[in-house]
Amino acid sequence: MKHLATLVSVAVFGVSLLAQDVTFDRIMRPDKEPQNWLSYSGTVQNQRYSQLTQITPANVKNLELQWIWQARSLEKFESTALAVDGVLYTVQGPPVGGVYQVVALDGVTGRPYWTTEYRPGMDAGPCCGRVSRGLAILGDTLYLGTIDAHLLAIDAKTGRILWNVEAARAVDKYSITHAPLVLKDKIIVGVAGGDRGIRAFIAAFDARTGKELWRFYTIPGPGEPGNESWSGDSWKTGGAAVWNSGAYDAEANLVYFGTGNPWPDRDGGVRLGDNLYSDSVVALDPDTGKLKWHYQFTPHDQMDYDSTQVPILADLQWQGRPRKVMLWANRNGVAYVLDRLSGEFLLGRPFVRVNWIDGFDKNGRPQRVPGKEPTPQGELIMPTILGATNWAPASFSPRTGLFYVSVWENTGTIAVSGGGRGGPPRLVAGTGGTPMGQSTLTPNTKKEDEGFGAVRAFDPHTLDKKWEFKMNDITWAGVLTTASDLVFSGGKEGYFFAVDARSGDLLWKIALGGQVNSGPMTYAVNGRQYITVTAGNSLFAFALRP
Amino acid sequence: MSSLWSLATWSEMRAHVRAAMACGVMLVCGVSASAGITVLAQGNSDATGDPSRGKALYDGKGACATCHRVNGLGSRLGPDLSDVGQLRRAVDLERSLLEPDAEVLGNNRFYHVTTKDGATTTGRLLNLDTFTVQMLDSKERLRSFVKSDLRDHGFADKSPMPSYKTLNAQELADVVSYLMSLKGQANP
Repeated sequence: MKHLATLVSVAVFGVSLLAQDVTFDRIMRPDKEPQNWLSYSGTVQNQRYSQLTQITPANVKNLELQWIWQARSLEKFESTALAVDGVLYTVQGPPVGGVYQVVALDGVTGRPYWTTEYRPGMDAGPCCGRVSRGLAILGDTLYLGTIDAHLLAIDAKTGRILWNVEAARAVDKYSITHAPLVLKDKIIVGVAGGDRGIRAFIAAFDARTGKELWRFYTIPGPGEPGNESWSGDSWKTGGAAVWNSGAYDAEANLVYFGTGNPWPDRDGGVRLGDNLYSDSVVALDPDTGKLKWHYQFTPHDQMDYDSTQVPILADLQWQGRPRKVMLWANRNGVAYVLDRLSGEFLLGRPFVRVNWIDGFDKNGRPQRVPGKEPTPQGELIMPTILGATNWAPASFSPRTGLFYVSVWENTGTIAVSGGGRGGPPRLVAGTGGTPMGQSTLTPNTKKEDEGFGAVRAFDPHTLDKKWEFKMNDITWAGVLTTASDLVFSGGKEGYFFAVDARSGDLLWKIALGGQVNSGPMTYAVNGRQYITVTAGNSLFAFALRP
Repeated sequence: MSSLWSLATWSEMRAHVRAAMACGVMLVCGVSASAGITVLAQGNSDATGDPSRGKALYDGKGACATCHRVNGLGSRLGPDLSDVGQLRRAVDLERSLLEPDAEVLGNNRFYHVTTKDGATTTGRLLNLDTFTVQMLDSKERLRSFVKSDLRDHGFADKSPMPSYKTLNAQELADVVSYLMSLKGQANP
């Protein structure tokens, strides 16, 4: 009852379905309206943590399906919906030759207010799925980045496309797949296409007009610091793409994005050097796009260890004093704690079995295990090139103080040098042959030592594992935590489940009939809390039995 | 054949299959080759196989259909061999015949479950997830089990395929030659 009272009191703002403009101040003060979900991971800190408490460990077993929205496309449904005053906004990527579907749904019934379609240009050719991870909202306008590298503004009341700008040329292999990030009066996006040989960038656009305001190349050009970390002209096609959303620290006025692998991914011989700023987190001034600091997780990567995970910002007591940190479980198998004001490396530890790193130097640079690199004969390197985790968003609960990550354990790749696209074949262990995820269910017959998935909880002060919830197959699902100490997640097996945030004990599950390829979210309307997740080509909404 | 369908346990099935000296397999992978193939049988002598003699061994002494299926005939418990000649190399087939545990691909694995009341079922694993198991049991029935209802479950330690080291070099070459001749049906 106490939880219900809390929920009802905060839901007053959302009783009316007459959506109000989503000001940047609202986005920055999510504590005032926990019934809403205003950005990709709930807040610009990306904790994917909700203060809603109506659904608890005691009653979560009473969750019932409320409605389903089925998308037309059978592409992986990777979006996290936004919730604004009772209205849900989401997007599904287009099939080949097809259209995006952007939709506004009634959060109670799942009925559509409007649906808008956008047909990307025929030059669009993303490497790893015609997907969208979500929308952004500012004022009464939605923003969508597309696989033909356009940025669209869409009227949130009608679905009408207000403007459509070309952020980069699709014919040059650029695309946009992540949810844009709203910062003040700007929309920030990065471009994907790293595995097609682009030189990636992050850019800010005027939210009102779509005019580009600044551009930061994730690979420095000639004369800029870091360009010397690429041999020859390799910087021109070196990748370092951006394909997941960023984070923002208002006090420091810094925006953070992760960057992808250098290209070609397993042929480092043609791009000697550290290959800055690939596989890095970059901290930028959001007003100018100037680089303030960077940390490179995997210098001179030859294993496709994209660092495109969502940065999670948390404020911790660190060795006796408050510290503003960034938590990052990386595709390379190592979890990191960084000082987000300075970029200082504070802690790094493997969170799965890895064999390419055996420590860090005093500056936080990884010390590699000799010989653990692609060879002509093939060398087993752990984790797999698909990673110990991938893009699926993790979570941090300020209540439990734990960091929750979807992981892949016991995976590896027989890495063959020169094995970029079109190169020699390589074996990928532990993924069941999954390239970058699928929407429909596939049989699993793997043994544990051939790879499995799990949700793991870590103490960010030590990166000690506190518990895990194991799955037989791997997972592409993100993690949601709530202030009632619940963790929601799912996986390739098609289950969506809730576990106790303090113990990892299973509390509830349901089979959704398709792979869960998204991060769950929660919202409330008229005092009732809902949980949503996508699986297969559908968005599912659950709430407690009345 | 009917006696096999009544087998309930993994050990019984394995013993039965071994006793039958079936050829069978848990075969997979590879490429090319054709009938009349030469294999280095038993590691020390060359022999040129004859596919018609190999088929006779497959159907007779080998009792391969106890576990395998070719063009709609035989058991579904082991891999369907209708197009194995397109999928595997002769050297791989020979190895599977002599060392069946050397390589068993995931979709050819066997699994066993024991319910809380003690009933044991063994069969070909079709899917294994966090909460359930799906398999084809020894009677070729599709079975699904909830793990929380089970006392015990797990992968079979070894392939049900016995080793055919008892075949002489010529017989081995004949069987391999027959298997390599199986290219699938144009319109199955």
